[in-house]
Order: sequence, then structure tokens, then C-alpha cells
Amino acid sequence: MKTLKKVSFFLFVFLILGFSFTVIAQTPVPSAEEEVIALTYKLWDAENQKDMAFRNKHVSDDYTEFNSVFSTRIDGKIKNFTLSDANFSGGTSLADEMLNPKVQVYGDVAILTYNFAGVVKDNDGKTRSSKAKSTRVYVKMSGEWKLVHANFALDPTED
Amino acid sequence: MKHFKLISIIFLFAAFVSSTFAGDKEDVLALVSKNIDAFNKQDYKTYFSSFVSDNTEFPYVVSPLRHDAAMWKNFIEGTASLAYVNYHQQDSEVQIYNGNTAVITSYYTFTWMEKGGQMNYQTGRSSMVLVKQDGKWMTAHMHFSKMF
Repeated sequence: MKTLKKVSFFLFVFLILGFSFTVIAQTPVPSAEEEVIALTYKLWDAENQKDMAFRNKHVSDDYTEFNSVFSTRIDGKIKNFTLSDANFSGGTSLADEMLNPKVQVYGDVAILTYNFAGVVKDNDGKTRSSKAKSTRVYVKMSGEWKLVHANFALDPTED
Repeated sequence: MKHFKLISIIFLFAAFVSSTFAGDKEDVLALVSKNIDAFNKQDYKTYFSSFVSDNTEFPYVVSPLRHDAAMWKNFIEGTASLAYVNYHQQDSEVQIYNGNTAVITSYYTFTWMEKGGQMNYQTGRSSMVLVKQDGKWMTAHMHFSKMF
């Protein structure tokens, strides 16, 4: 009887372990493509929620940017944050979406390209849309994706 | 005379060392320069020899849509019908990561003449991403945008 109990116990443990391993093995590991797309949505959310710590963590110190507000390249994370925060005209972002996204991965670099589509509600209650063609370059540093460069350009059809 | 010989030897050695151990930034800029030269000479074989097979581009005004490798090849080879092309890049900055990724940002002017003689001019900003494959720098992505 004692032996039977022992066998039942070990069988139970064995089945639990087997089930756990199966569940872990079946949990899909996100691809680099999925990771950088998810990170971009999180960065937009962090900007809307004023979560500067998250933004700071995923943008490299030597980050450079071309955008649709200033003609020339803006060098460095601090300068970029200072200008983008000062330029923010208020209102609420109602939607930030990437259309037609594509990620090219080469080892520890990921190039994300997409057409940006956004809707903002201004302080006076009016909504306006914005669209752009965007490139983001992420590099994996110490196991984390960091944004090193972006080109946020006007959609040529708005030119 | 002795001093001259010694200085010459030091100079030649220094030149040899600097060319042998040129850094990634110099290599990347040399490749970009070579590609621009090939494009201006309408030598498309050389131009495309340093592109990854799945390269992508955002052109300047043609479309808001991203070009894939085939679309970009058609677009570039289409410039063969022009009487003259000249692309010039300036104030390039290079960011290197892990010795295998380069981001080059620049300002450019593009001048072209159609067969009928009409001259056109465009100026803008460019972002390029190069990756090292089998020890060779290759262009993976380019984004051309308006400088307003």
C-alpha cells in the first residue's frame, strides 16, 4: 500500500512537471519583428502617459532624428526630448497606429518602417489627423532594444 | 638628406598604417561615396552590388509607400532615360553599433536633366542603414525626406 502511494505520488509529480514543460514549450517566444512593433506602441503609450522613464530606457543617448517640424537632424537624446516636449501643443492622442509595417532584422539591428496614422483631439475639442512615412532603427544593447535613429517625414501626398 | 629619408619613411609608414586600419566610419563613408559615384555614372551594376537582397526605401516624393528591392531597382534603372543625373550628399554623420550596423544621416541635392533639356533640382535629408554581411558593408534601407 505504501509503495502504491509512493508510486502515485511520483506519477503525480511527473505528470505535473510534464504538463508545465509542455505549457512553457508551447508559449510562443516573440520574434524580433514582434518585439520592436510592440515596443513602438509602448513608446507611443509612454509618451501619451508621460512615462518618461520608459521612454528614456528605450532610446539611446546618441539618438538622432529627422522630423517634420525641424529641417535639420537633431542630435542626442536630451536635445530631442527637450524639443519634442516643448513642441507638444497639448490635447489628447485618440489613436496612434502604424499602417503597412515592415521589420528587417539583421542580427542585433531591426529596421521598422511604416506609414503613421494618428488622430489628436486639440485643447479646443477639434480633432485632427496626422500621417507620415516613418523609419525607426533599433539596436539590441545589453539584451534590450534601443531606438538609435528615426526619420519621421511628412507623407509626400500632404506636400 | 638623412632627415628627409627618415621623415619620408615615417610618413609612408603612417599612411600605410592609417589606410590598413581605417575604421568602420571611414569604410562606410567610402562605400557610400562609391555608390553615389556609380549612380551618377549610371553604373547600376556597381550601384546594386552593395545592397542586401531585401533592401527597402522610402523615396522622396514619388509615393508615401515603401519601395521593396524590385521597386527600387526599377526606379533607379529608370533614371537611365535621363540625360544627366547628379546626386550629392553633404554633412554626413555616421553612427556605428556593435561593429556591424551603421546609420548615416546626410543632406543631399539631386539635379537631373531630362532628354528635352529641362533641368530639375531637389534637396532633402537622407537616412541610410548599412549592415555588415560576410565582412562587407551592405545597404539595407534608405529614407529620403523633404528638407523644408
